[in-house]
Amino acid sequence: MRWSLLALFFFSIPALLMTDCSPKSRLTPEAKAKLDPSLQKLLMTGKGDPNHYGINTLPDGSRVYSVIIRTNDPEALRKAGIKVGSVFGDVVTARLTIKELRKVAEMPAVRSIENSTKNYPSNQ
Amino acid sequence: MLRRSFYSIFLFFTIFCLTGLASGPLSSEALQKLHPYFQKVLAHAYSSLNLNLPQPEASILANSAGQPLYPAIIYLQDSREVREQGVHLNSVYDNFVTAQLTPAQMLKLVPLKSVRYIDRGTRNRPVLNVSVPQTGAYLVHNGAINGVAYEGESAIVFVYDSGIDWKHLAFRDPGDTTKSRILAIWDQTLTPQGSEHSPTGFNYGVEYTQAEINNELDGTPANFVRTEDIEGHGTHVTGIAAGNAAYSELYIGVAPKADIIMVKGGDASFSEAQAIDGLTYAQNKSTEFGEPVAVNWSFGSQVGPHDGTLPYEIAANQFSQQPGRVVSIAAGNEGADNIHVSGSIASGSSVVFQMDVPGYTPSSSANNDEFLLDIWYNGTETVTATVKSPNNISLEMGPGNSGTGPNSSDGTIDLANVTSTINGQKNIFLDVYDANASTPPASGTWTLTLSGASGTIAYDGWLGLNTVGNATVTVAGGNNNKTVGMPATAQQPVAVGSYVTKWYWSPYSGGVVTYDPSTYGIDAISNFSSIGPTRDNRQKPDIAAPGQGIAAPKSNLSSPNPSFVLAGQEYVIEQGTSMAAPHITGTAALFLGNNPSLTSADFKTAITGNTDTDLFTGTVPNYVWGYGKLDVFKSLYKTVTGSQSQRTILAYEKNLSQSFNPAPSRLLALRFTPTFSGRVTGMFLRLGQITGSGPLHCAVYTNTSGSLAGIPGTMLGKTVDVPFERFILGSYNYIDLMGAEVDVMGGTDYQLVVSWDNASDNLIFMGGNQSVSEHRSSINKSGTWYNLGDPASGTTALDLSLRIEVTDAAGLNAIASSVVQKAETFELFQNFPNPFNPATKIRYWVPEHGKITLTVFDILGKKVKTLVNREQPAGEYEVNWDGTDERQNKASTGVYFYRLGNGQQIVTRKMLLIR
Repeated sequence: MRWSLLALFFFSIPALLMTDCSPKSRLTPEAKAKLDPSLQKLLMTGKGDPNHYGINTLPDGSRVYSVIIRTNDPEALRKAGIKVGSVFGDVVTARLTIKELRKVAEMPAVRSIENSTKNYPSNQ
Repeated sequence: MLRRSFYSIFLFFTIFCLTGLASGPLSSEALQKLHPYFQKVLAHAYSSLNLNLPQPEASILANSAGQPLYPAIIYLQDSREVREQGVHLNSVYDNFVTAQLTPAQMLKLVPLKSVRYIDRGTRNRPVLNVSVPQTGAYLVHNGAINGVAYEGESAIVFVYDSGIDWKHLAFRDPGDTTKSRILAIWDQTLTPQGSEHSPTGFNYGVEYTQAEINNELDGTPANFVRTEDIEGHGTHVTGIAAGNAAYSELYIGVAPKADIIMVKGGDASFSEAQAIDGLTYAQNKSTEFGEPVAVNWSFGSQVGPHDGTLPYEIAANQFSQQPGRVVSIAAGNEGADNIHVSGSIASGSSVVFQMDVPGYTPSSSANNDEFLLDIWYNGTETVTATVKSPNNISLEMGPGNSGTGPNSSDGTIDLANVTSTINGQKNIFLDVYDANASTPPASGTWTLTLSGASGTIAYDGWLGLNTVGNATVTVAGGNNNKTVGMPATAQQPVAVGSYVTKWYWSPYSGGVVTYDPSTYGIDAISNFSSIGPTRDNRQKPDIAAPGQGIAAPKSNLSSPNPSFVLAGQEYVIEQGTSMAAPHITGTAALFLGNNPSLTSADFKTAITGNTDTDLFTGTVPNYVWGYGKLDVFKSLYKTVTGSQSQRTILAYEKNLSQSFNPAPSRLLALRFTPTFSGRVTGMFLRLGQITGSGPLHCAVYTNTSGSLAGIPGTMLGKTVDVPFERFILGSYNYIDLMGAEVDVMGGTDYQLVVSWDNASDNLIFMGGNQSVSEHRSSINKSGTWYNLGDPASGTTALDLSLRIEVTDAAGLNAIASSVVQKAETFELFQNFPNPFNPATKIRYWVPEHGKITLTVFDILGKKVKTLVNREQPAGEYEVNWDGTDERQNKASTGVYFYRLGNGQQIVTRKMLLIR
């Protein structure tokens, strides 16, 4: 019984890391390089402020971040269960949870992911 | 006795009824039967109704008792009941009648069961405010191109912005104000509730259809449509591009019959990704409604590479590749902010950027005091970036690294030194902000040092955010180059700068308000308008359009400074390249309404190839004006007809400080000299005081020379009358002179004569900033003309300030038509009138540049007068002979010959002078 608990404890650590339950779990260097600095920071801290990120809360309470994905294969995103917004050439919009952001960054079809810039009305 | 009693009872009953109507509350059902303008009329005619509504524009009509009259369309089932109320019906149709109503009659009609709605109706051929006639859009609306009115029908004006006041009359069908012109609204900020839904293909926001909007306007609102425009920016922008005259004839938009779609992206800021989704929505709706679409983006940012590679720039570029789609983007308002830095770093050396944060009171919450320096360069060379705060908090990032500085009282510091995923170029990004409200960016000098350059680096940088509290952060050595923001640096979309068409205006509270009173910006570039080129040295902005002092619909939920709110409180003055871009968007809708397959590239070529240029624009293209000032008429004319046209606004103005009071005279004239032959299509005047009701009579006369300014001779064409009530104080007022039907010759003097009849009326004319030499103005006293400045006139040397619009386009004017069809021969036309007294006009055609003589001889062959003796380029000319000889003595009755020569040919005709 005790051995079982110990085994469960030791196996659960890498399992947690592999399933990205921790916001600070590491991406592969290749995946991290696909993210712009602000999204890297988002994954580091696990939360973003609305002044620097496009944040929305879904009806189920989860937070999604507006991002722009560069890929020539938006279909790969759809097959991975990612809800794609717009597609213009290699520019694809999506609203992702942090978990989905990690998942998309690891996808070979994805070249880069950028935070959505914030824009202001051009009146004086 | 019985009879007298009967009359007393009748009189009492009548007064009781009328008093009761005027003092009792009006039921909401009855009120809903009135056009909103009429609701305001009643509110101010009868304060006892307790309707808290703004003051409407005054009526320009009155009955014999002096009561104001309002032209109305009454929708009804049975006209008898209305007639029984003593209302005179002017026209009667199946479902509606027309009448001119007093407020009292309105009160009597609305409770009637047979009356369904009292509409204000649309007004035609209005006197317009400045930017639409300035750009020639007014001519386009009114059939100056082949008799066709281009108003944007069957094209969509698509605006991504802060929402829209969908109840505003400027966005309703002017023929039936219970119908909206808005095809759809997608409010990206709302979460669907109840039966609401997001647009097809999207999982956020709420879409409202035209049917749902109409359901709110039909008099029995369902209160289903929740979207609002709190900021008022989107309402204003949409009104510039597509507002109509349903509320005010003064502030019509560029494409008043276009359909409208609004996507609300936020109140005061918009997400790039959601703006891209807006483009997808535009595509979907364009397909659904089968109409081309003109997209307006009046927003932007200075954070990014400024080279057209940001995702929304790529998306807009791709969107624009399909026929029937045009995107217009505000160039930015950072043209005077000195936010750009540039230079080079030699291999192994360093550069220091110094930013000054003044003392300030931080904003109360977190994440709203921030400054950001964003530096970009091409190549593989690397540097090390080090930021140091005023209190020596330091953070260093080597190549390829990014991170956040230590917690400190100097603020949160993010620093990145990376190869950008956006475009593969090097980016050093310093962001200092208040992640914690208690630790905002410290006041004092901040430095960012780039050191250890591995090779020579040429960089550009921008202080992309620079506001802490109410203070502005500055960067040492900053300049205004390359300040066209993103997404305006996108390749194919049209980047629009702003120039000034209005400096003074009259708010609803009365008087005249001005921008900086120490100067006068009319016709000049707006000092805030962002300057090009792009970082990759492409031409931006593409064009300039009116963007300062722009009057357009005000959202009823917005709360602008009252000094900017205009009469009726339905329109407001705003400025920015935000206001310039929708002039291009509206123009695109005019083009697309004409040709739904037009490409963005063709549109851009048409508008940039047919601009107006002047002393202000200088040589174009340049990085301030792009290709010059938008001319809607010339560009659309070229596209529709394939031919070139000309349009100019001749400005004759004494300097700004002048105000000219002509009293007691009320007959004035200004000599003008067209630079080409064409039709007089309009005039502008600026007034400092308006007394009485006029009307102002406007007419074009020949010029009689012989004095300093010349004086009016014979009237040409017809008189155009404009009631004084149509004029606004302060800003230019445009008067449509197409109805005068006057064609003029280039290089010939004419007189524009303005007058009014009533001695108690008066206008005070204001100056401008395009000063010309004096001695062009005259004043008439007791039937005699005097030149202003002539001691005999009793005036000091004051000039009447007016602007005159002349347009040369085949089909619009007889002269242009004849020029187009002219053979390449030397021609002399019969003088007109003939016989004549005292003067006549002689027209002739010169096929090529040369020395031209036109001489008058008497029947004995003796020279009477030389009318022309100079070099003239090819073209058609007209000269006036006033029937005098070289000494200004009157020639006697008889036959005369006029002979035209160019050194190779001579043509002679005869004419008859009868004294």
